[in-house]
Amino acid sequence: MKKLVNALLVVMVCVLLLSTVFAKGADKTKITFWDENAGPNRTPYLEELIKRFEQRNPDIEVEYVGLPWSSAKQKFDVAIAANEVPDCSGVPTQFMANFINKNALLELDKYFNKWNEKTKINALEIEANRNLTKNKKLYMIPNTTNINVLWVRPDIFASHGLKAPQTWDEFYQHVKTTTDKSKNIYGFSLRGGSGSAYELEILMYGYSGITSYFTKNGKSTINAPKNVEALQRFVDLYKVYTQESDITNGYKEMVAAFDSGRAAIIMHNLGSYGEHMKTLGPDKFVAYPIQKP
Amino acid sequence: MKSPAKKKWVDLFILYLPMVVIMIFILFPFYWTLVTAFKREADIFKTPIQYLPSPATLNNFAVAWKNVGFSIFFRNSFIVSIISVVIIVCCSVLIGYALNRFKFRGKTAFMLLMLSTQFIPQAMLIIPLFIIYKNLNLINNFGSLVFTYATFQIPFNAIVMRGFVDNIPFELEEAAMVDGCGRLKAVFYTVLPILLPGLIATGAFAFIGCWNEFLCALMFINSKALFTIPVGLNYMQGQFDINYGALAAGSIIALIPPILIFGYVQKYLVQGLSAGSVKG
Repeated sequence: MKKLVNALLVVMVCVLLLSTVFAKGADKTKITFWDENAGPNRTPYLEELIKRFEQRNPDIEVEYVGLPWSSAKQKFDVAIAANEVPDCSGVPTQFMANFINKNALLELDKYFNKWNEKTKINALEIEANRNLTKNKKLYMIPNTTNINVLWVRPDIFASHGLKAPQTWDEFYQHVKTTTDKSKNIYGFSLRGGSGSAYELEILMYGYSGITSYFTKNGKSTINAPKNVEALQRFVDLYKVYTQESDITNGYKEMVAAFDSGRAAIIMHNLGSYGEHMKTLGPDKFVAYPIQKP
Repeated sequence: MKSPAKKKWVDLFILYLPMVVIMIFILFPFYWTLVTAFKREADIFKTPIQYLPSPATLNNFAVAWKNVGFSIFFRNSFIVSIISVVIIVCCSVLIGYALNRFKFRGKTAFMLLMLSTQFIPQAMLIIPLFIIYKNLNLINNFGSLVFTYATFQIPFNAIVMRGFVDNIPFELEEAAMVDGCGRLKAVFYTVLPILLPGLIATGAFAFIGCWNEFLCALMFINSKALFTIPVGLNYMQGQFDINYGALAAGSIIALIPPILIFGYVQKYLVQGLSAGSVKG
């Protein structure tokens, strides 16, 4: 009996050791690409692009890994900390500063300058990307850009005879006018939960017109009087012209409020176009540019 | 002695009514997920709220199963969970038995050490474990998940097993050994059959733990073909859109094995749980 157990132990150890041996035979160069927002809407496009890329470059093989958006940042953080990062990846701009500080991104200037198709990308976008870094170097090649708009229900606006707001005062006035608590319609649905900081930042600087995060002396402009005023006016909307539950609104809840007709206006980027199209159809929603300061 | 009629009223108010209220409270999210899974995407946010899908559609299940790839995730979750549960149950039984029946130096220290590992938050261990598995070439391999789940679940389950084994009088094994069995045989033929409810209870909880585990599955696996169901459900929440119908359908698919398992082991569960807790 003892001999059998011993023999089993030896076999087990051998198997475990063997399992760590890895045979990698590669004629092609293999690179990994991580997609930070994989899903049924994006993955097929990227896979098609990868297929075309591999056809044009037969000696490169691309391994596509799709990450779910809500946990993509965590996965990146662990990969960087453990030094097991992909070769290339889709990275949203909001992660860029964090990754640069961790020395995780390669400077792309010399590759970009040698690229014969570099004029096909909007030069302003490249410039904007450079301006986001301390040393004005290029760390990302932008492939999409997004702008914040006001999504508005034209049916609610029409019932009050309102047009697109041209100034911030008009915006706040419209929110007040379209609120009708008896019909459970609120003028605005603010995003108080996850992702709210981005919206507030855009709102503040859009209202005040300040174009830099820091003054010449290195002080942050976030407490500039105009910014504070912007925030105060916005916060004053809460519970008066917005629902009480808005304080925990994330993206889903805000879009749901708009799509179900409970909010006349929301402020979001063009990314929610698909949601609105699917739920409302082309006539029931419209985008207006955000007011000038 | 209360009259039968009065007892009925008392039962109704003290027993049945609260039970029904609590059941509605607990079951409503399940009901809502089920209903959402069968609604068309456009109907999910329509007001007034539809409490029953009309028309009902199976499209969400088709999308979740094929396009998102739930068939793959389902298979992966199953493989990882079954292997982990087998290892967990085997090891827990052996450790629990040893802790209860044998006297050896350092037994208390060993038990305390095992329990104290349960206090470490899992998130803190992700990076060190990742580095270890990377060096063992186990990243993007089910082995990393199986080892992790087994390691996290064995201490607690071993302690629980110890409690179960405590309920079984040693005389049974003694009698078997007197009749000529060795220790292992004695345990196999006398203790294990009585331990069965405990085994099943442990196995069921271990299965649920492995089935629902998200963080390790996300971090240690790098290819879609090997992701498990919790990660798959996460896919539905995109950066710019959330496919609620497919998310609900995926949740229902993810719920089926645990519900089936618990339905089957129900009778063992109550037996097993209470047997492990009461001593003497």
